[in-house]
Amino acid sequence: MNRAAPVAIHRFKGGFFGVDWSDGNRTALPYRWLRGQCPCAQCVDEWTGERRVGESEVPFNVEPVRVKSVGRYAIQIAWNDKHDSGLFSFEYLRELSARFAKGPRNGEAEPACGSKGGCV
Amino acid sequence: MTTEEQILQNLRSVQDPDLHKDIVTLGFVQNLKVSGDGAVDFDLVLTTPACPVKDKLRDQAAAAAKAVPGVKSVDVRLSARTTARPGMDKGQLLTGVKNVVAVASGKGGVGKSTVTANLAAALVKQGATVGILDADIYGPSQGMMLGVKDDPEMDSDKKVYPPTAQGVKVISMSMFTDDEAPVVWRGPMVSQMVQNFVRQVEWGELDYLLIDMPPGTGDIQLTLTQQTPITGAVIVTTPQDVALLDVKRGIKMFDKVSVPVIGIIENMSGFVCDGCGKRHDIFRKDGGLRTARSMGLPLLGAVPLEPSVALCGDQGEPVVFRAPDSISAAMFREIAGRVASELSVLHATDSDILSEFDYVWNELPETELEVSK
Repeated sequence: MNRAAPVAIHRFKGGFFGVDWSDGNRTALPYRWLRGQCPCAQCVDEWTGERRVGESEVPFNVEPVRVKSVGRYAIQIAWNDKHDSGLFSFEYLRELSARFAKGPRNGEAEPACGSKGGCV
Repeated sequence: MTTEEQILQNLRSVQDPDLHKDIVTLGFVQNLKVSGDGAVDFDLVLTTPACPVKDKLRDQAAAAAKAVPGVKSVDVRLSARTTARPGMDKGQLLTGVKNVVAVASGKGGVGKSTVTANLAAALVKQGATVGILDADIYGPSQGMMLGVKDDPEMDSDKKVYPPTAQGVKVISMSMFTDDEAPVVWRGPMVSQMVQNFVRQVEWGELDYLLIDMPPGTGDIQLTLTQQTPITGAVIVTTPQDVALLDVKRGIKMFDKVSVPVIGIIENMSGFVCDGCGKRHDIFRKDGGLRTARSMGLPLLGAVPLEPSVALCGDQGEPVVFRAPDSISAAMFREIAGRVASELSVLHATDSDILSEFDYVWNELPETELEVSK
């Protein structure tokens, strides 16, 4: 298991949430896409694992308001759509980044801004 | 002629997968000797005897040394010096105990004590020195699970010396109370008892002290967590949702007092039938995994229900010792390895890592995105 932890958090131009990791990697994820991957119980059905709130349910101009550490394992992001219960564990952020690198939609239904993707 | 420098240079290519540094920088390579006829030997001193990848590291180190021109043979001696929690020497409590791990559950009946006994057994099997402090005041059972026969000894200074059973030092609430009498304790009495446990027991040198916590997340549990220098906590649950709700309470309790939660262990994860060998999911599947995911914690492992496991506990011998080939025993060994390596990672926490932050997003400077650092 990768146990890399953040050494720096960046607010990148163009609306990207950036992290420099202790293993030397840098990840950058677009705000809206990241918001759509929120793992909390309001956004993902705890019983079925089905996503209730995804990218297409959140506003286009969504962005973080506050970003803070939780213990030694996760980052909590409070968004400007008043949603703040999502804990993005370091492991999950790295997994998301790998998924995003393969193509932001990765077979997910309902592309939010045109079927070609690339709305970042 | 081959030099030590060349060997070290090559050994730098071997990385510890958990600590993300090479074995030379980490100081694992010691007593390196190169003889004139191309024989190389050195010690590889790891951070825990329960390291899950120790054989892999040894093989990689041997191969890296062998790749240096002129080297004919390589002898790697594997050993471990368990890393200690910061401030172990300075503190007054539990001096000599390198790691204190709380095994907790949000509610009773999830098999926390069985998990504790088996983790201890698995760590002992790997060569670590281990103790169990059975603080489960409601149902102290470690004496039975490990088949402890002796009473603790006490000297004139009121120091208590724990008895050893199957290589594990054990102190249990049950050793100080009547077997049959219900333990009717009020908060302050429990607090006093816990203080005594933590202050007066002479554990000696221990790599790992596991605390079998009382189930739940009340006052007693919080007091125990605050009064004991806990390095990290693991939380045991069953796959149902009611239990999982309690897990979240447990995690929040540890978060409140800044005790890092290492991960979640799902117990009673399906039933392995002793008749057909098939696994039946009695409860809902993967509950632990979903909770771990939503709380941002690793799932350290999932232990199935096997009739033999429960029987082992009742007969005073953990399944790790009694049925080492069972699925449960293999899983306990894996979990113990993960716990040990997570603790090593905690100690090695790099000074570069952002430990605590709270940013107001639009106060951060907006910078140009460059893909590589």
